[in-house]
Amino acid sequence: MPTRCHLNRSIFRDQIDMTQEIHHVAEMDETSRALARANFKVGLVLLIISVTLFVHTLSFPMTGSYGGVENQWYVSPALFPLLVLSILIVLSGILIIKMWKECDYFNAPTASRGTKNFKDRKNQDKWYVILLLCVYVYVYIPSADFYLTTCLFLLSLILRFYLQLTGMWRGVLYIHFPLALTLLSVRSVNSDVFSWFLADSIVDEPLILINDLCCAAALCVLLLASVINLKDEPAKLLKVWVYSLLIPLILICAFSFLLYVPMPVEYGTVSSFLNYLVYDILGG
Amino acid sequence: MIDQFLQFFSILFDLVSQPSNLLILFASSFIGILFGAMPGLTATLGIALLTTLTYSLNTDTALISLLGMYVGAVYGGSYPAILLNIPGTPAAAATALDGYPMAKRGEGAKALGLTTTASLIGTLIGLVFLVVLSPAIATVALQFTSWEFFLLALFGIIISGSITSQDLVIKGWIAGFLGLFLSTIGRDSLQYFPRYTFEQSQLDSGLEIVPVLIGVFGIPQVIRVLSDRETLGKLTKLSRVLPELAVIKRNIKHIFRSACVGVGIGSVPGIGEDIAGWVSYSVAKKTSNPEEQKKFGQGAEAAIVSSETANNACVGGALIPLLTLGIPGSPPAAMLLGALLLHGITPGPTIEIDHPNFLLEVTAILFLASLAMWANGMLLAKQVLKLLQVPPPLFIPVVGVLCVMGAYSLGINIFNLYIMLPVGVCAYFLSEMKFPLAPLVIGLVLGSMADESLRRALMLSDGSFWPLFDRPVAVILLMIIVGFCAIQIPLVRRGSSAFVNRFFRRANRK
Repeated sequence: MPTRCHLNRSIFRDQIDMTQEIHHVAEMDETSRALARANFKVGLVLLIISVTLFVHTLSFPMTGSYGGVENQWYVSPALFPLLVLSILIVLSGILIIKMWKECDYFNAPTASRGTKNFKDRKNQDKWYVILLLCVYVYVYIPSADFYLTTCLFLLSLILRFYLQLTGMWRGVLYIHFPLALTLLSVRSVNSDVFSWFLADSIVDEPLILINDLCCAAALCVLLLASVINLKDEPAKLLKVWVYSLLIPLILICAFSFLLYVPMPVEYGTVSSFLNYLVYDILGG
Repeated sequence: MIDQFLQFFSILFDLVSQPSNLLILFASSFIGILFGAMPGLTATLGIALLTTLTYSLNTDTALISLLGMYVGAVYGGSYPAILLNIPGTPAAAATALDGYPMAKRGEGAKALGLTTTASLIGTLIGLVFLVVLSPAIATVALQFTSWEFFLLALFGIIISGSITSQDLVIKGWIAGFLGLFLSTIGRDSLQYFPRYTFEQSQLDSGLEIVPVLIGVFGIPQVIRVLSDRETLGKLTKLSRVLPELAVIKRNIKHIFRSACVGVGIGSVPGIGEDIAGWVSYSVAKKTSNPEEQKKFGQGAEAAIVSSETANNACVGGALIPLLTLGIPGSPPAAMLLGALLLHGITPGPTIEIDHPNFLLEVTAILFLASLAMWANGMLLAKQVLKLLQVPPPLFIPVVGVLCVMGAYSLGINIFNLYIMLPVGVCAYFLSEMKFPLAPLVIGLVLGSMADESLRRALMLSDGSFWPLFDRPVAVILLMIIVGFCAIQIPLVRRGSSAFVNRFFRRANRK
């Protein structure tokens, strides 16, 4: 015979299970609603872009003469893009309507605290990776030595995601903001306008040297952070250094001397040194 | 026929007689297994990165390494699926359902032995289908006109958009048409008019396929794996991996059926190994007797054998439309198409005219690749497991650097990076919102064919669409496309299900 205490306990357990289930269902509902809202936004952005491009496409030669050839509508370079854009406009319109019905856009409840915290952390990580990739590709690679910039990129990601630096040391990971600004300023020295965007890498050797020194200084700061945080774990420190310093060196040597791919900044300090070592000293 | 056999063995002998070829084959197969085994890395990404390394090699050697990587990576996904319950590639997701319970029972080595042999058999059966069906399809395809090619491109996008969508089919179609739009960037091939180049001379030749594909498949993985902060569980211990021939013999009916499912799904444009694995798993479950059915999900041998045979048979299946029509059957095949184009080979119905014996060459390489995969799986399983213990936050940043170096080294052009990154970031956001990426890639790859074919067809018919209806294949393709679109309309869907209920179920009851 179950006692009163046992019965109470099982009722209590059922209640907890039910509450957990309700929370789970609410969370699922919230996730799908958030997805619907995101899809609504995507549909809207896609619609605006498609309409803008559609209008731009109307400026392509349609039936007039182009390049001395009498044009017909069916050979126009606008035909296929117009067809694709029309379909995209229709599809994004359908997506917007579907999502509008699904997500109740203006009356959606706010996210619960726990989920929000998790999402905040995930969002921060996501944006950190995206911004670092942007800085690496658009600022570092065309401005400074490829090896130094690659080590910086790798070490920053490894420190954040493998070592999971906390407290004061986490601030070191934002060294890229001042460094990126410095590199952008340095590479604009000889140009008439402040160039945020370079279609080609820089070739001015003194400027490359300044950029390399700045990158080396930033790299030293990150290396110091890794040493201080891992002073009790030499094996882990070695692993971090192998992945952030040795592997890029191997990759660069493989691409430069086996596949004969010149590095983006040819006169970078390390690239020049490696070229000197392989071709002049070793006679490769 | 005998001539073909002799030719095949002569090609095989030529390939084997060069030790460098064998070394590259085994190395690329092993790297492929590693790519498949590392959660976060995929077969497509592996081929994308390897393409850049094979740029300077001759076509044969490049094909050996790429196909070795492809076969190895599709198989490699089963390692973490069985030992960690985390599929290394989406293709191995169905394997995890029964592989992991087996590993928990202490039968991890047995499960790996089964997947290795099943994958070998799957690849070989796929290869037989490739050899038998490709010439016939290529002969038929030689009769195709521009209308058929335009509709084939559209068919590929609609089918792959419909099947790969996780929630709404419309998202798959949007991704496909976005890919088609991206393919229109650059000067058009008929009048050389600059479309959407915005006075950037680097865009005149259009978007380079390989850097864009590296962006689509590489960058989202880097962002996702790092921001999700996934940690791997503890690996279960492994004894010696054996071929498990007795179990294979017991499951021979599942193997042949799954191979057919894999080849069939692989040959549909844009649908990859992951879907083949799932479909084969569910077919195996449905066709098993009630006793066997109860074992599914608890470590059934038939389940592992079915999903692994199907996903590897899909490799041969995916190569059929690629080589005969120029339409990739799966995302890795799309990447392979990019690699072939880089080496000056344009797959399509005329491939045997332009490059005699190319089909036999691919078959011979695929045969060797499957043997290399099997040998690596049997002998080097423990080494793969050691590397599997490297935490993702250490190796994923290196993958990011490889993506950058790979995209840059194709054409030694920084502008490739400027294209790769925004495409990759957009692909990441799209995939987070459950937009499938395979239709986008198919659209990008088939866009120029669709554009040129449509305009050429209209030029020949003086702007009339009527000749389309004179061609039976074109009409069938058009009907399938319209059918797939119409079935998405709720009214049509309700009507068709009412029709099926009324006639077919009643007939069944009788």
